[in-house]
Amino acid sequence: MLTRQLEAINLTKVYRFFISIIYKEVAMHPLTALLSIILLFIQLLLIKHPLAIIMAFLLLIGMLLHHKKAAIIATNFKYTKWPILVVLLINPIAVNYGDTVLLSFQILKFTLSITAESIVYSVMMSIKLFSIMIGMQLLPLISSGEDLFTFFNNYFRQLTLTLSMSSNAIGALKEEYDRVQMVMLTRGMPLKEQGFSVRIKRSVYLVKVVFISVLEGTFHRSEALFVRSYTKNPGTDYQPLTWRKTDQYILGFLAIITTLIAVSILSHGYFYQYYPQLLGTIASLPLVTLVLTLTTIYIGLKEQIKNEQLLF
Amino acid sequence: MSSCYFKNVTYTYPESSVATLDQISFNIEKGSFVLISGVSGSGKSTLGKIIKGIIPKLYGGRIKGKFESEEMGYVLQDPEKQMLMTTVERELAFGMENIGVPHRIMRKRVAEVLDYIGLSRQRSQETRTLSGGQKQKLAIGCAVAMGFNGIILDEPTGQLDPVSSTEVIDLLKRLNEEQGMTIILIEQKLDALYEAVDRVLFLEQGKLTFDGTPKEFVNAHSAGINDVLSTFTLSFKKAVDAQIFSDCPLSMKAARKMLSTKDMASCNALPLEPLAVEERPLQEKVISLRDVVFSYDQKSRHLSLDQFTLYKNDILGIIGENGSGKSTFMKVLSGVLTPQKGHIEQACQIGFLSQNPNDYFFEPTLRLELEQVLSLQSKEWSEHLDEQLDVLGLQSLLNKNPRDLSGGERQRAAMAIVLAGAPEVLLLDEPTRGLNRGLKRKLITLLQKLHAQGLSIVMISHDMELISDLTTKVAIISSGELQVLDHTHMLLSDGLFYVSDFGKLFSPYGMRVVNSKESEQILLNLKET
Repeated sequence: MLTRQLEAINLTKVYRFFISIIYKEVAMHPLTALLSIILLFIQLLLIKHPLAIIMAFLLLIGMLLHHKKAAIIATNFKYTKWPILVVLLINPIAVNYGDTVLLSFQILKFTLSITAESIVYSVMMSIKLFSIMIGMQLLPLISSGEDLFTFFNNYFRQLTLTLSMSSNAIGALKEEYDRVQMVMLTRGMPLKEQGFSVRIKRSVYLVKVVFISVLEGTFHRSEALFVRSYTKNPGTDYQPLTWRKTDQYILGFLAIITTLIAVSILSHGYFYQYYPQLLGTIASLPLVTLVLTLTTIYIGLKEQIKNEQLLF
Repeated sequence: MSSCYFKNVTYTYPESSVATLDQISFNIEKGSFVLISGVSGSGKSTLGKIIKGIIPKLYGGRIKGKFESEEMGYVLQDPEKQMLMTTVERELAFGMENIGVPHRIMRKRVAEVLDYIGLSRQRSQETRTLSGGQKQKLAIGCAVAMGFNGIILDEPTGQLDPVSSTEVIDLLKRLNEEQGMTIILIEQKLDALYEAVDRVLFLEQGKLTFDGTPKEFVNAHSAGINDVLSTFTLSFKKAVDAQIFSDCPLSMKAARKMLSTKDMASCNALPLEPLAVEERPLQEKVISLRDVVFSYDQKSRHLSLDQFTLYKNDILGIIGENGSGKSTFMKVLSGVLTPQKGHIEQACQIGFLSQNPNDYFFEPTLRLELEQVLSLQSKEWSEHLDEQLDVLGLQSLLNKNPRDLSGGERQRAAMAIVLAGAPEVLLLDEPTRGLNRGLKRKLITLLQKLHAQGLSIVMISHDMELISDLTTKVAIISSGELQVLDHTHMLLSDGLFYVSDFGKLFSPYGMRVVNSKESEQILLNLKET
């Protein structure tokens, strides 16, 4: 039933444009990709409605699954699980607003209340945090790496070069760090002793030598730039950017979505309040957001099952 | 047609009163292969940078005289520090983008150059994952792709294993012979180059003291030149002086041809068995490793050792290609890395001499550095330390900032800091990197003295001359595993790459010869067939 319904939507232009976003073979122009991500982030940051947040989150998950990048979800969860846990625990304890008291206890002169509103709020904030983390990695998936490099190299030339050089230098830095540790061991600096003063002393020596070494490395890299005739002005492009028709369609589609969201916000369509009581309706969500999310999830899961990949 | 022309060029670095290059004059023809050599600090790299234009544009300083040079590519010594882009393809294209090469030409050139340098399979690979040899080939490829007719290379094989060094030199030969490119190579490892180069320029204290053919170079009677010649060439030079041969050979092939004219059987000093291996009761274990497994990422094994024992007073050389696991092995030995599995018995003071002496300099003077080491180890300044400083020639430099010392002095200062901790085992990582033969000999003599005092030594090196002159045992590490550990004479007297030049030369005669001492003993006793 759902498939048939989706096939029906497939007839519409909107759906075809949407399909092109999640299908890698129609990679977006970097500008289009960037605008799509920005729109997603705006939605995540500005909109309070829990269903809108959940849907944006599911949209992201669906896209990552489609690109066979379930590992990104797992990796990000590994690094964000502690901040998420802090948000989940601190907010209900620290914020006592909300009418629906689930638990209340006395500590000294203070009364601590855990409310349903504060729990819902902290869950939503955690989802937002996790969505932002995984959303940041969406850019190279919806646009090609080569195109992104050319785009950033043309408009943020020095920043792109700095990032590229830094990524190369990380391996060398690790080697340097290990080497200096061996040197410190030779000097009689205990590597495994955990005393505060020893750790401070150890860090000062380590940072001092590695910092000088990094500075020397920087000088060598400036020589390397000189011999490759580097100037501040961009030259020609190895992979020139092409503005496809699909990009025009996607941008048009994004414009419609943006307008819908803006109109919804202005007319309190996305209205939702957490305190003192949870207040808002499903009807206040624009239908297009719902369709988009469900479609992505459907395609993402289908792709995932087809490739016999596990979610986590 | 001239590719590079210098007339009375004198250069002084900023804030220096002494000229680094003094009245340099030469002319390099297009399509020639020129070797620039000299002892450490003679001004070789400075000359290369002037030819490229890096000096004075980036460094400043005062330059006098007349010089002209066509636009050339430039390859730095350290392969790590010249990679700027993330992928191989992008790295090649970067220079072309900067000089405005049109898109279509760029795509064609990238494809051509990748095929030519043998990296087409690595086209999309990240540059940081390439081996040292591949990085140097890529850096050469970048200069070729930019369309330059010449390349200047500053010790491109300085950090490479023998296999990668040979590949890089072969690539340079092809570029010179097939493409007619001018190659200006600054190098200290000369033996593999004599046949390829047309001309040698030799610098001493900023002055050009020799300009001639490789044949004239190896036969020249100069103390400075002798300081950079390999022990292989010097052994033959002694035989020439003793009128056994008329000329020094320029290649292994020529040396073999020369030996074939002699009666090898008549040589009364044929060392069929190892000459230098001193039989000692190797009983006292210093470090012992059993069933050790180490991994950086928990996925693949970067080091896997069934059994390894270092005995007291061993001098062990560790060889293997770049990325084979030698450094990981050293880190596990020192205790910096803790293996995930296995047993380590190590209850001795370890000293580590890094390939970069700058790693040791934290304090403003050498004296403070030494005092700091002593205080950390609750030791006092002793007469023994003074003696060691005398041997190292550092007494007069104690109140200087170690970072202001010359390359050789800095290495000796680092050694003094290591020795101040009175180690029982000394670990060395590429100790002769950047040192010419004269400084290398001094280091070998010092290490031999320390060994005589009871120190155990483990060293990683690609320098076969050092390994064969100093070590008693050699271990070959490949793919993170200890493939073989045997006496130096057994391992380095025969083989394809991990063999000393003397081994290559004398092994067909059934002789196990690895060092200059043994070689000279044979060469000076040779008779005509």
